Amino acid sequence: MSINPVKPIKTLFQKRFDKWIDKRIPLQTEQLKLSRKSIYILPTKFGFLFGLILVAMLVGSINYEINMGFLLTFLFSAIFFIGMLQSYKNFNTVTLAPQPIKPVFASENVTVNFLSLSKHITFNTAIQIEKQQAYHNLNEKSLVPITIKGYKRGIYRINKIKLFSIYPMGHFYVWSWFKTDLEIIVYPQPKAISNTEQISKTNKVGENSSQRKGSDELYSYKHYQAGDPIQRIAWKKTAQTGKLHSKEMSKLISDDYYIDWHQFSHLATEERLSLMCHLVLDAHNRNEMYGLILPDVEINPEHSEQHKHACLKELASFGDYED
Amino acid sequence: MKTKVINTHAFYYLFASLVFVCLPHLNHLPLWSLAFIGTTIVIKLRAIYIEKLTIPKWIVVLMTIGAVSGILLEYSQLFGRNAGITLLVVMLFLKLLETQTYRDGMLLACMMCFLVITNFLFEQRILMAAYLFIGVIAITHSFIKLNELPNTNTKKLEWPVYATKITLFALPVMVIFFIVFPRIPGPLWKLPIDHKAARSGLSETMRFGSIGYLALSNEPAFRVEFKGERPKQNELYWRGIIMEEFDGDIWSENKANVPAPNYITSGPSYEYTITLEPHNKKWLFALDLPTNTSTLAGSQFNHRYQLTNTEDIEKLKRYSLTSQTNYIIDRELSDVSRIRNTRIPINSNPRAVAFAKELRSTSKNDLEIIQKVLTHFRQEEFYYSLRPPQLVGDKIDEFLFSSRKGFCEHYAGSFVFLMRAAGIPARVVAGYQGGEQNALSDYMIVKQADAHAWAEVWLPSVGWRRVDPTAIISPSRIEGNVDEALDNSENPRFTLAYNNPALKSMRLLIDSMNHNWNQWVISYDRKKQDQLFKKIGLKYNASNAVTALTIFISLLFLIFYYFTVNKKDKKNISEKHQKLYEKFTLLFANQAIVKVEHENAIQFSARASEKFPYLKNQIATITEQYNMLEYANKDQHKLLDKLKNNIDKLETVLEKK
Repeated sequence: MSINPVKPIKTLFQKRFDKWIDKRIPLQTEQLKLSRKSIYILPTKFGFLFGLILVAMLVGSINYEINMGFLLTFLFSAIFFIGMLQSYKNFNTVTLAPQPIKPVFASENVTVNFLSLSKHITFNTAIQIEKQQAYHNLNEKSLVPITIKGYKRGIYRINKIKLFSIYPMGHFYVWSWFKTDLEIIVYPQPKAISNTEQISKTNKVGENSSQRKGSDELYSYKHYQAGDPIQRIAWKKTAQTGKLHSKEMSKLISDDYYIDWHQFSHLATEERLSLMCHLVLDAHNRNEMYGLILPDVEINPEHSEQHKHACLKELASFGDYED
Repeated sequence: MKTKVINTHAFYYLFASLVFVCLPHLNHLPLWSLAFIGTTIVIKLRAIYIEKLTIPKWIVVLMTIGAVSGILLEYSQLFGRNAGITLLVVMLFLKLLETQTYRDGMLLACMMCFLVITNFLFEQRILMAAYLFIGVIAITHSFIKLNELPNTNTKKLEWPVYATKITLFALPVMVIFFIVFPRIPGPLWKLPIDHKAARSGLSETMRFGSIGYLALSNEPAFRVEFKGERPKQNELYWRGIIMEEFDGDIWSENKANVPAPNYITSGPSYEYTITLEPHNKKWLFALDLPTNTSTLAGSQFNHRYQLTNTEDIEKLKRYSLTSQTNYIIDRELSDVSRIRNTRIPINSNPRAVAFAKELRSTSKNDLEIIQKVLTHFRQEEFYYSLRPPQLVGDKIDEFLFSSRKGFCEHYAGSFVFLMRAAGIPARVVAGYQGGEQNALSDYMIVKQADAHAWAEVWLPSVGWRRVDPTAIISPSRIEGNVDEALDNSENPRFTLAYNNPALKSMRLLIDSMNHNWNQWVISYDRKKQDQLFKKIGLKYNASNAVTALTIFISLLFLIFYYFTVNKKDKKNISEKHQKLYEKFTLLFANQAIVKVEHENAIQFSARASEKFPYLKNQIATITEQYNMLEYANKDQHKLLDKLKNNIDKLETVLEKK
């Protein structure tokens, strides 16, 4: 493995440059709006080529003393500069509102949506996140998607977004940076394990099970207290004892289903998480209540969308993987 | 992005633009190259038809080699005007053939810009300029289409509105730069030698029929502006070529060139400026006889009293002279000259020779001979015609004694021959006679149709004197012009259309436009720049030029700034006033008056005033101001501030409650 001496220098400059650029980018969370300070413009390769051709035309006109040549050279030069102004003008009304990002499973594509709020259409503009580019005409109230591929499990933050355009003439490259705090949550890939190592539902009756006060089944009787609902008055017991009694109900929880990290210690981390993810989805789809136990987190059994996302998010953020 | 496949629409527009810009070159390209280009077009069209087949690389390479070899064979060089242009055009079409990606398209569009300018190496007139202006719009449109996303515009054919806007906005910038940019004289380096295209016009030789041929052409030879007095129509002889050599068939110039000895002129003098169309020869036409030729740089006035330029005239040339129509030249004739100007080929035209000898023997002096010949022309049945019968053998004999029908060159040539046969030194002069005054613009157009040949005879103590036999045969030619002298059946311009007054004015208007274009654009030079700047009261120098440009460009930027920034501000205001109004309605929400969706500002104001009658005035004012901001077209910063103040005041009042 030979060491390339050029590379380290490049990365050094790159780092310093990035720092300098970073300082100049304003942080915008709700809406990405361009400010004059942070729009940059430079000629493209074709812009330089065009400039060269203009010089050649000028020299030719001087040499052959053709006044029409001058006229044409100046016309094209003016078009060149107007093209520059138009590139800027097309770009500087961009206003984008990033939408909350829908979480995905690992190796699925993340779609980041932006809502374009500007009244003016911005043509042929690209949004770039992490080297992925998407070209759109930014129309008012249209959703502008960009798809990023190949994230592994974890929680990511998008710090910087680049916007650029070469419309209309292709001679000038206008671009700008935004700082954001968009969050991407990538759940682990759900993977079922087909062999019998999958442990079936555990009956955790005992110290972890509890019969708690609920409302479904008779648990015990208590003396009537003012304010107890009349429907709860236990007439039989009252008749027996002569004192007013009311019922206390409880939900019989004989099956507390927890998806426990510790149960799968024979698996590797990622596989474990993948399996747990699969189990969560499975339980959710069967309309059962389920809880989650991880080394540092315990979530009590429930059944709801929010609960599912909370569990999956915990699985995603296991080990604090952050970009 | 660069390797992305090119927009289909963009490709079509590129294709169309390329053909459009190349069309004017059709005349200058060799036939085989046209076939070549045609093949390219057919191949590409077929490929498109079969749904975008990629042209195999080897075909393109083969065609390139073929093209280059063809050009080398044809022009024996790759540079130089015609060779270079052929090369460029052929290469661009080959490039079109293999255009697949965005990058290819952009390269093609950039190179096309260069191609446009090559058209001006051949033709600078206003029509070409207008045509190529459209070409520029087409190329700009191609650029825009290349840089649009593919489905931005689903219309198949569309007017290039954006491109036109950009090009039109570019016009004023172009004009300013054109006016101010310094004109550096002369080539920066030596230009490669070119073969020049033939142009219609007078040539160094004359034979029977050559002037008649020019009578068919309406092309302008030059335009003249007289400063002050204008000579009479029959004094307008524009001297060009003096032919002293005759071989029995063709009259030609003698190559000797010696500076003119002194000559005497008298009578009224006329000042004029000629704008001469390029004719690839060295002749500078002047009114007989110019007196201040020494003021014209790069010119020679030779012993035949002929004004020539050192270089071939390949571009429009503007020059000013003074002439006097009364003159005496060559009071003394050298022996060499006498011999040359009395020489006729042996055994040529014997009848004419005999006739001349007879005149000599029966006349007292030279003058009498001349009178007799002219009388002979007048009294006998001689006709002025554009289409005389073809003559063979001894053409002058045939003409003088049989056909008796000819154009000015027949009369001039025969006359000079007779003079020489009689021993009087005589020579043929060719140039232009007359010209059409353009009432719309105070200048004269001298067309190729006004080409003329006449004679000069040398008489002792008088010198060379003009004799124009055509004036005898057909006075209306000299007093009027060719059209008036010819039979309607022969007149190429005898159509109702041509002489229709409305169309005639249009014709003259267009020519007037051409003339102005020639003056102010094509021959714009340092002198004109000085003139223009003087009009503003400045001197043309580097610092003034730079200042003018800087001011202008700053103005442009300010205008641009106004247009882009102002738009955003306007948006901000509209948001701001909405926000303020929202605040206003919220103030009342706390007091249980909630503005409903479908309620407008006035209705809300009525409800609020009901609940708070003592705030009626404030509410009304705020509502009114809000409405003004809502529907106003111009930005109203002040109004916005007032609104803000009023709402704040209302807020404090309500808070107290």
